[in-house]
Amino acid sequence: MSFLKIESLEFKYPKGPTILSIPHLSLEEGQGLFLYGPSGHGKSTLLNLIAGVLAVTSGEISIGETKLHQLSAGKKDKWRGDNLGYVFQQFNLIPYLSIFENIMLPCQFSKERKLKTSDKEIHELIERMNLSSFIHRPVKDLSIGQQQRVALCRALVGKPKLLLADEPTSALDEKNTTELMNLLKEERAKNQLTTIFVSHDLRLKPYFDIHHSLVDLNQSKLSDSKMEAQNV
Amino acid sequence: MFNFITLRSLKNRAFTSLLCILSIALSVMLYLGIQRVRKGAEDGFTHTISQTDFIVGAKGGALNLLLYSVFHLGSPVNNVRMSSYEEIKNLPGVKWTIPMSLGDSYKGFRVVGTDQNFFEHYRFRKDKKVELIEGQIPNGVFDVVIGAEVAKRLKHKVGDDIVLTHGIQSEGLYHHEKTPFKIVGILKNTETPIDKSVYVTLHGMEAMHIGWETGVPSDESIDPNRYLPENLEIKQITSFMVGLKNRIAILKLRRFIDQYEAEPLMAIIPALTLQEMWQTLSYVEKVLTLVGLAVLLVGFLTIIIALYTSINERRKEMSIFRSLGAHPWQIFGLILYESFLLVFFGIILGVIFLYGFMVGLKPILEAEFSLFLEITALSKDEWSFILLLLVIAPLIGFIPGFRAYKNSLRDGLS
Repeated sequence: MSFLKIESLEFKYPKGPTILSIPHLSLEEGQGLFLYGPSGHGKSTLLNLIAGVLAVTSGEISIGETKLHQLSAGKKDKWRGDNLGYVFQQFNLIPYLSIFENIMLPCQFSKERKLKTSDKEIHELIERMNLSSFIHRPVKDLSIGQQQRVALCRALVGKPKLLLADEPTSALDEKNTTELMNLLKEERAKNQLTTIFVSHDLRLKPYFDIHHSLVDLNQSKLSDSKMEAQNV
Repeated sequence: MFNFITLRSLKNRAFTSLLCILSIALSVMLYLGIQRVRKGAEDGFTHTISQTDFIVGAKGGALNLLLYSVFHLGSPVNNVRMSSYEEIKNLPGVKWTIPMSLGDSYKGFRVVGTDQNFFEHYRFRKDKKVELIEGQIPNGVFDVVIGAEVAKRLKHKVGDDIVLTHGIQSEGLYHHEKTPFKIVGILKNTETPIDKSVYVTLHGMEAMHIGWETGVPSDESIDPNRYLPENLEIKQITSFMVGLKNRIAILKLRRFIDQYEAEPLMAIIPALTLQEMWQTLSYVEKVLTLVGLAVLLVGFLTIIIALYTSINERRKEMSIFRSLGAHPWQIFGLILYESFLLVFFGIILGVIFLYGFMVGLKPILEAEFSLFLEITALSKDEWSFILLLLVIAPLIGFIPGFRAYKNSLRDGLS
């Protein structure tokens, strides 16, 4: 039984052409999926669908026990808050909160995640991420590499079932990229964390079990410019 | 969750938030302040005279009678015969009367001829009595008591001799030089026209006009015996105040006076006339209230503008909240809550400002404008106003809130 299963997924905006069409995609629990390919092939649409921010036009998305395509928008929001870790490309942090407050933010939105974790676990996580020395500092004091570590740390707080990462290394230099990838690898192994990692940096492929090109995965062949126009 | 995020978010934009809070605070202070000043002015005005049931004078305008008898402004068209006064004074329902004889001045201040009834029965601001801070009430023919303002401005003391001026022009041509008066008392500050008046006895009023029958002083010397009270005959007064034993008699007595046969008289009920007069000034009130509301509107607009312009800078922030499970309606609520908090803090600061200013300005308002502002707790009306603001407060977040809602729907996680 797959942990994440996508079946005959189609997505289009009302009155628009089909942007995303994925016949089949599945992941076992704990597996890491590396999605690559140039931007403009429905990457952010797919992530938004899996995160439950967008609703599928037709087809199914199941994650664990949850049939995401059957949930209302409000239920999907709650499910996301309880079960998902998300790392953006950059600007992952709320500038007016301290590092620690940023890390603890998932617990503000989800009671379940607050209950699933303890102060001890969080401090161990912060320790492993090498962030303990500046958790009470403001965000602006951090380098981008450090910020992405905080973002990863936040995504992992409260033991999410699924981690989505949207090109988290694209703004990082090689040294920081390696550091972040190694931390991610360790944490995934530790928690059996199913991960979908989007990047155009093919050097990161070896960190993951399954690799797909979005160009191959998406059967809808819309050009970049058309896709952009649909998204506005 | 809302408190955690919103308070920090507002703090992050401390300068703009502070400006918003300040603009609300100023408008709340101004609006409440205007209402209090208005109330204070009305109270001060309508309480210039209390407990007097009638003012009786020669037939003419009601307003005019009130103005010259109470505010010492303008002048009467005619006088009241002493015989009429005596008759009304002795009517069965009458409890007390205060005669007044006007028409002279002292360095711009009005001279009022009256008797001890004025000191005994005159009331202002509900139940305040005319009191002396020094000396005694006028008794002798050439005794004079001066109001607090007169004493202060002219630096007079008890024992000083003063010469009154004929007529009420501030620069009168003729002075009652042959009949100087001696100050025997100084009145306590009342913040009413009394402070700007000079009080003599009816006899004194009569005495200083001996030899003035032609309207100008005669050159003949006057026999000092004529100044003795028993030789002074008071023929007329200007007007008089009446207090009744029982208010039920008001209508009956008023009709009696209005239809008085010996000479044309009229009676006004000062409380009513004061109220009518205040009503004619009500447009000032309306303008002030309108100004207060306009300022409030500007305060609200400031918040809308500040929040609206912040929405675009905060798109990424909203996206992060979305990724953590926030519903677009929660984003909307977040902005509504921010506007609510801004108004909430604004109101608190505004009320603090209000009391601060009231404490600070009280002495100045009293001294310069004769305006009494009692420092009281917030009234029921004021609480309803504040409550109304708190209801409106989140509503003004609607426009920026809806913008944020639409943004976060469109942006998703990006």
